[in-house]
Amino acid sequence: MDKGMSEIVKGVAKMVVPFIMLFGISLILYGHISPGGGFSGGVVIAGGFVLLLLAFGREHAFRIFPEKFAEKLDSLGAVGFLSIAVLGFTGGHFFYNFLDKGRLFHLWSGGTMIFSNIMIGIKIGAALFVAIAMLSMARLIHTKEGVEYRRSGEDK
Amino acid sequence: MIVYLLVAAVFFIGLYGIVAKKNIIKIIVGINIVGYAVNILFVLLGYRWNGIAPIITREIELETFVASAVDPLPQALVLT
Amino acid sequence: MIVNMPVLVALLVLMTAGSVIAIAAKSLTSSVVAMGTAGLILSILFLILGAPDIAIVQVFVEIVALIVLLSIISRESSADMSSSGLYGGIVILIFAIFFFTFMLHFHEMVRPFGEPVIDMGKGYLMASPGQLKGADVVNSIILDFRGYDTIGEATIIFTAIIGVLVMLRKKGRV
Repeated sequence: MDKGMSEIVKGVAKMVVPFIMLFGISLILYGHISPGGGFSGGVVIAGGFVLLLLAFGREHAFRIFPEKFAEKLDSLGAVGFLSIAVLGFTGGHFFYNFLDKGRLFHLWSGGTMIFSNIMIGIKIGAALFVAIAMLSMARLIHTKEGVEYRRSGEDK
Repeated sequence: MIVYLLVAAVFFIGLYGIVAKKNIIKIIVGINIVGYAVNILFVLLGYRWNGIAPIITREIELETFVASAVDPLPQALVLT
Repeated sequence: MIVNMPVLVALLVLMTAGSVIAIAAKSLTSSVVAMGTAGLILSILFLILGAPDIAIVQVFVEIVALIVLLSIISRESSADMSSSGLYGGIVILIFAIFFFTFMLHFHEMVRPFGEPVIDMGKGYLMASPGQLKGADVVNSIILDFRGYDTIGEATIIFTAIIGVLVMLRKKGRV
């Protein structure tokens, strides 16, 4: 994953990645009406980022979407989901569904379910991208004291 | 009945791979296969003959939906 | 697609064959590819058993796991862990024989395949379009009726990511 692949792969990846992201966002937003939801949409978005990482090499992909920003997005998703649960105290007890329930088969239905889907989708997408990015940068180096992990690109 | 026996066979193949192999890649493959066997057992316990997925659509009534849908609770336990 | 017993048995036999090849193959690349095939057959099984949410997740997680494992194989020589192979295999065989004789009486303990215990599921199937007005029953179970378990799930994934980050620090030594 150090350098990217050939020009054909780069051209096709440039055209395909927006559609993958669009599919992932559609799975997240319509999770309460059709099959999908937070987990499926998050995994699809992470798959799109992995395609970027493989086709363009590591430096170029991290210029588009740096991994420090992805760590912050991961924490933001977790805090957002917990804050939706704590806001249920205004209705009575913990995790109470306090919003208006809307009408069946419309976009606004199910109360707080749509916001929970969005937070879970952000969290899963960022977390899987961080895991793949960290694994692509690690090297197993045998030193005199035994086995150590280093990040590539840093001196011993 | 034979369905449950086949799922147990997959579980034990994966368990053999974890215990008896020396290469670390084979051990990771064994862990994944044990995970597959457990997930498929959960979903198989909640299946109903000629059942539909537990997602209600516009053209089905509520009574026929409840009488012919697959059990949604094991699927919620399996989802990652 | 017509779902009856021979179709299910055929797909499960294919998955068993794939996992046997994955454990017993000599070259590492073929064992990882066989594991990928078993995972994709599992996704087809989820789809025809009426669980489309899990099928989408299984396909993409399987692809990402294949990418990670293949990049590990191609990069460095695999480390050998010293473990006694033969005795562990004999123990597993004895345990498997006992478990199979138990499994022959399994059908007296659970319902016959295809008639599930659906009492709690009926409550969720009726409450989700009626009171909560959400059309996807599985999504409303994991986010509203049993949302506390989803908090635990998010915590587990968060802890795993922090563990990966800690292990791969600049001078990472666990």
